[in-house]
Amino acid sequence: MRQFQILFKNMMRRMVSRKGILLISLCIPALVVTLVVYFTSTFEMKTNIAIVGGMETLDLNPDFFHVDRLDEAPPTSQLVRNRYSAIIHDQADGDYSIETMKGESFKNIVQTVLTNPEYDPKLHKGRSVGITILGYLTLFLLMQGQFYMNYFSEDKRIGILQRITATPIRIETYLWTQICFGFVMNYVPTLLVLIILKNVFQMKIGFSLIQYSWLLALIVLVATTFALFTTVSFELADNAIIFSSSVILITSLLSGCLYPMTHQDIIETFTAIFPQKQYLMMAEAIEEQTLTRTFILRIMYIGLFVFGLFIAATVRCQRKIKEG
Amino acid sequence: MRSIRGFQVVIRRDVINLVTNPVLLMSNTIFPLVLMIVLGYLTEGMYGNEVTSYQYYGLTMLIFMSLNVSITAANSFMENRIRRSNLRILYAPISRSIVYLSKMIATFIFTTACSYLLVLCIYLMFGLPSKGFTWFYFMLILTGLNLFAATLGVLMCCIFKSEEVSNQLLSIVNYSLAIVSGLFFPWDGLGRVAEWISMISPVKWVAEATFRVIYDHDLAFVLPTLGICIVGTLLLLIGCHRLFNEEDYI
Repeated sequence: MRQFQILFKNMMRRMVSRKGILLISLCIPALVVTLVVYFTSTFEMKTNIAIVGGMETLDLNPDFFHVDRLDEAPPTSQLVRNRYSAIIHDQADGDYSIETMKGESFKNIVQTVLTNPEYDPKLHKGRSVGITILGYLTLFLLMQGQFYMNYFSEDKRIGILQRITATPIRIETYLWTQICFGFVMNYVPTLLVLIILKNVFQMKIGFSLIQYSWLLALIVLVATTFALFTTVSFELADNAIIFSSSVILITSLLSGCLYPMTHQDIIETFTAIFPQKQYLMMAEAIEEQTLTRTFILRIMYIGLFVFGLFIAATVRCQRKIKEG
Repeated sequence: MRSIRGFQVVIRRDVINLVTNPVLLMSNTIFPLVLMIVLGYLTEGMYGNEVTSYQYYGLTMLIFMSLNVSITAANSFMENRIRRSNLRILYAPISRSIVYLSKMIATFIFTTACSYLLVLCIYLMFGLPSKGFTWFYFMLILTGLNLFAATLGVLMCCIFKSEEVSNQLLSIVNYSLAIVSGLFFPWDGLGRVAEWISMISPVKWVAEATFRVIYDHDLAFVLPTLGICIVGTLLLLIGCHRLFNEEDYI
């Protein structure tokens, strides 16, 4: 315990001495979390339609559609970039043609809406606010976890780690301290910003603050232990960061952090091994308030993952120290 | 003459260092490819048959990869391994700017080769409309962006004198710009506020240029984009020249 205190205090002092980096490390989570929450609540999920040449009588439901009436057809690239989901050309005599890049089914939906203005195509139903925010935060926190392992990689480089191994401090304590440090640095600013956004600015964040407190704790744990594992494994810190950023991005995307997974096939079952996937499914269960046995199993899986990474990191570190 | 020969030797060595670094090699070839496939797969339902999601992400991820050239450039400045060789270069009777110029040029050569390879890959795998010289202009845009990003990475290293800080900053900047410019998801359709915000990002204009070239065969944006890239590169190089101090490498 005493060893832990010594190491932890040392790390805190080092962090405070580098005020510039500390400031950046605190501002970035604040900025990112604010932007994520702000954008999730303000962005319109309406479908953009462009109408070219007339059709003044046409009235689409403004809750679902955002209509731009133009004199000239916009270039195709704007359809590709989803600036407009569809362009309707008025060809006089009540005839019109629909141009879209989104496939036949979408074209049919637009057709139906034009003929039957009461039809609700349910295009604007996205994911809930809470899950969207959580998805983005998961990705962000996993990436940030890497950067707080900086001191560890620095220790390795400068040779402080070698000196520590000569002391009676056990390597597990040292690694455990790194995890606690990374956890605190990652968790506290994010949670603080969420608290401020909810209470001071009254923004909608989806889940309650209590739920966020342990949801975030869980994912930050995963982030920190994964960061520790990659930092132990790679000789150069930069390579570790690039490698883990890539892995995190791809696994998070496949787990449905940015886009909901709509495919039900073998890839979906394969992604079940990613902790992010289990985590998001857990969050969905909380939202729908269905607490079943699988919920407990998911938490246990994530816990096991974290534990496994920690053990793996410790074993690798010890082996590397033995080899010098 | 001796100076040019010295230059060539250093650049060759730097390129070899980059190619033999497995992580950098992977992040410039395999990683963008995997990203394209994953993102294309996830959003298959949102696109039709003329323009598939794979095509969309093929193009946008190439632009994203060109952005990340700055991180590759910052990493080619690696401290421990390169520090001693940087010192030797400084002592040698060639211009001291070669230290950072060679890193920039080596990164540019390496990443542009990777870019062209990837363009070939997406053309073969995903099939994009090909008419006349549109591909040539697209590769030109990528080349300009690579040049600018490589210089930016080197400048960041000169300013912050630490790869980790440059890495972190450049990562954040690149991801933010990519998201705001609609490289990861169609940002343009999210409303007026989103549109105004995306106007600030220069990457959005690069993406706009790309899509206009490929889908509208409209070359209006190409020359301004290239011009800004080249002018920006020159300005950044002047910055490097001013900010580079040998003393930081001892």
